[in-house]
Amino acid sequence: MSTPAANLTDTVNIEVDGIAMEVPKNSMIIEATDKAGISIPRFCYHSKLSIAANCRMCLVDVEKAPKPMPACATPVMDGMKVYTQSRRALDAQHGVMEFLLINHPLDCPICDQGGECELQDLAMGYGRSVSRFTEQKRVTKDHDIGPLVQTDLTRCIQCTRCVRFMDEIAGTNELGMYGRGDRVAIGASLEQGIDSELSGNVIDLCPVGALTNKPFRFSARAWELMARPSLAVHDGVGSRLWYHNRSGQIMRAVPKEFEPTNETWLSDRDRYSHFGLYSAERALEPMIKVDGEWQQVSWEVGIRTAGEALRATVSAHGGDQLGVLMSASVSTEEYYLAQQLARELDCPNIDHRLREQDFDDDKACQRSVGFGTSMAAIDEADVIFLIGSNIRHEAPLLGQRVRKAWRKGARVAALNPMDWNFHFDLENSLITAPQKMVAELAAVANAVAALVGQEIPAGLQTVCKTAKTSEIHTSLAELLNGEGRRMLLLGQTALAHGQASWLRELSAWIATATGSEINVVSHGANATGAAMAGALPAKGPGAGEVDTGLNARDMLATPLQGYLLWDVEPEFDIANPSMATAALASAGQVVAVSAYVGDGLKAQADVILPLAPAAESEGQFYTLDGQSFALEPAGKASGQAKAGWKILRRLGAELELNGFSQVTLASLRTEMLARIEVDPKAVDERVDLAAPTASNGLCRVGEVAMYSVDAQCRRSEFLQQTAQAQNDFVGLSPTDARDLGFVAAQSVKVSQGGEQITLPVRIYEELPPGAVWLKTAGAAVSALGDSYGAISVEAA
Amino acid sequence: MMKRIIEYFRSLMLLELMAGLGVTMRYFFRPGFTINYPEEKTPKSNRFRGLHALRRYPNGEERCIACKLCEAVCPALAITIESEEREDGTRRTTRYDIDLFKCIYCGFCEESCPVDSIVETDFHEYHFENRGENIMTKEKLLAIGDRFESEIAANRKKDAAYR
Repeated sequence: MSTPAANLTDTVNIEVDGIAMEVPKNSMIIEATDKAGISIPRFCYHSKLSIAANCRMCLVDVEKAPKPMPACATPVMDGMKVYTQSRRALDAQHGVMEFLLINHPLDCPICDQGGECELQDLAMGYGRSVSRFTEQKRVTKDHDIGPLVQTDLTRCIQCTRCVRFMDEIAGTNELGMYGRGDRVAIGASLEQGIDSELSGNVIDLCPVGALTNKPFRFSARAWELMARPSLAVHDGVGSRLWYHNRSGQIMRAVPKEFEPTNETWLSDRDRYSHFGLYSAERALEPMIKVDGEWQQVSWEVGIRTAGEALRATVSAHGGDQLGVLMSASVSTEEYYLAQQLARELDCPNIDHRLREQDFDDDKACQRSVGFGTSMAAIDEADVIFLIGSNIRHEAPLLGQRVRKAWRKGARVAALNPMDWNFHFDLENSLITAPQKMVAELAAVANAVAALVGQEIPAGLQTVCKTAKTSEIHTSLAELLNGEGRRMLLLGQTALAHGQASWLRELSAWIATATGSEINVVSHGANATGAAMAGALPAKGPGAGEVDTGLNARDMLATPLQGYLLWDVEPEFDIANPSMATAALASAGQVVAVSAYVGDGLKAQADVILPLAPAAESEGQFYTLDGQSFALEPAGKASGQAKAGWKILRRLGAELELNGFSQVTLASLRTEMLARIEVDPKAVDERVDLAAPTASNGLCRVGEVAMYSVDAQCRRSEFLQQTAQAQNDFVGLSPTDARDLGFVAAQSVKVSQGGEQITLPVRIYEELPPGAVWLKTAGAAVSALGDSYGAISVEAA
Repeated sequence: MMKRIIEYFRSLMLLELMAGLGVTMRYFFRPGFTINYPEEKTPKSNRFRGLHALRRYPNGEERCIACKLCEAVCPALAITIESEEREDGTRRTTRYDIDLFKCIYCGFCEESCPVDSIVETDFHEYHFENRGENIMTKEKLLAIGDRFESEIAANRKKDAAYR
């Protein structure tokens, strides 16, 4: 709290419509009136964007000013007297509205914005009932800017909110204002339209119907829709949103304002993924495989068959021959009940980290999850060091926060296997092939050790001894040991890396030595919840001690007799799909509980139970920084799909296990919360890691394609039409391409794990030598092996 | 007292009955009101609100643009509309149902229509024989519009001066 003396210098006294108020110095009139609840009409002003003052709708009367002033661009001054309802202010506003409507078409009945349009609303108060304009209206030619945003530029009132959003928040400068006078029009800077991962936000920003939701186009009216609060479950940000449904069917998603997570934005992945909900591949009924044929059965039969399959595996081969593989994006209740089910069946093998392959530091597994700070703290950071993170794709809204910090002056460094196209500049960027990332980070650790005068722990010495420290590492260490708030962001590439435990341990040590904060961007939407609930082989609920089981990779490396797949598509959701397919094929019993039935599950599973996806389900979710959200159904469940906790409860009761007597979600949640709430920092052990095996040759950079992170995104046809969704190519560095004698677009044979596929080559300057960019989770690569592992490329 | 005695004797003379019969006799010799429906019909206002219709433009294009104002204004919730983007990019209905059992023939749909598409014709002589026939689908409504287009146009022309 500021002292009264500080108040005198930081605030000024103004009077608006006769109401005296004290407002911060240098703020604008509109900020003061918004806070006081006095409404001033506006189109171009938006609190998250820079001030343009080009719509002139917010003109107000300021005492002693010779003419009306725009409230959004007039700073407050001590003793200022503002009149928002005076004759002069109202006349000015009415005049502006008449000018705005001159070129605005009167096509509200066919405009999707009709009913939720800022211009329509304000025209009711400030417009004339009959136009005095009898000349020809201006018409602007449209141009297709991509599969997600529809343009109707004739309706544009040139507020430039979209242009400013793309410049300032999304950082892609993909929209601009072209032409002069009354021919001025918004247009995409590039012929192919807009490609930003945040492009959908321009729909919400547009005050008129010039930019609307393309997939939703003409399908419903604002007044027919019921808004239900929900959560985006494709990354750990936990963006709040509203699902708008009509008779139980989800029609569209719009962001719900919530500063700690998504502010007012929503990523395209969260906005358009719901179109995957009504895919033809949804699991609608329980199914069992009888003599190789799928049969639809009742829930009773489905649960009984699934229970028998699990019981048969455990009684014939023992509990350790069963493996439970769970998606990282289901509710905490599901993790809690699933680990209860597994452990009651004497099965210690349960894991949700399906996209990871190195678990050597499993004893200290709490470190691999979540944030040490809040997500909003990224905004305040002065130094950000990204380690193995394409933050823009992993969590678009965290990328937006990094950009925000960078715009405020933060310095961003990165250690990445590829020079990803970020919307902020990197200084000290270490771009190196995946197999050299540990050595580079070790070199940074050496530099830090020299700088702070601390010894690197013996366990980490094996790598650090041989790492060569150069100038760039030293300057990075100086940055990390410098002034201000410093933060390490460990991304999904680091987690999925073959030597992830080394990256984790080294960055943890660097963070401790320099006093920086460390944050981990885990895979999935509820990795935090999964770790708390104990869906891990080495830790039980609340990080309790349990018999150590096999981790996600070991469960598949040596095939087990039975598997329970929870919302997992084995060919897309697992780090090594060829290994997963082989293990599942040799298993005696595979029970799958899934929202979608793809070809992979049909081939591998013996029982499929339909799971309601998050939008139709209920349960508790935890964001990366531990904020909880109790999700409730936003739409009617399709077919006979049921919430995960209900399926597990029935399954537990069918198997007559302890701990499955909960009748309501509330009682389950009370029981669960009592057992899982722990301070994650309390558990932090150090482990000695085996020296990583050095490998030469090519290594795959298998980041998850942004719009393929889960089954629902993969089935959203509109997301799949975007340029970002393309993943059927293999990227090579110019050096490697030259050495191998490849030219762009040439078809080459890519082989990994004994499987071979043919793909066209693309050559990227952004790739370092030794790295092969081949995204995972696409249909083309579902036969291949490790997402970050050795790979070979040869001429077809 | 005297007045009540006179009243009593007057009532014995059945004067009210005679007056009533007088009315009867007067109408007995006048021409009758009854018409021989359906051979004969009474005249109707051009604003009569009867069976609904969806109109087309003279070039055959349906007028309805799926703005859903009629659905929103309908006090009986009798209208159900589903819409989509047609191949040529225009906004069109895929479903336009009016439940005639729910409809109260208030004419708000007609009032709200920005393109004069949904109208209530002056045709009121219709019936249903089977369940479900009360739901007027888009096809049925367009067919009615096609059949009565000249009458609808004429009625609206008569009313144009008062709109």
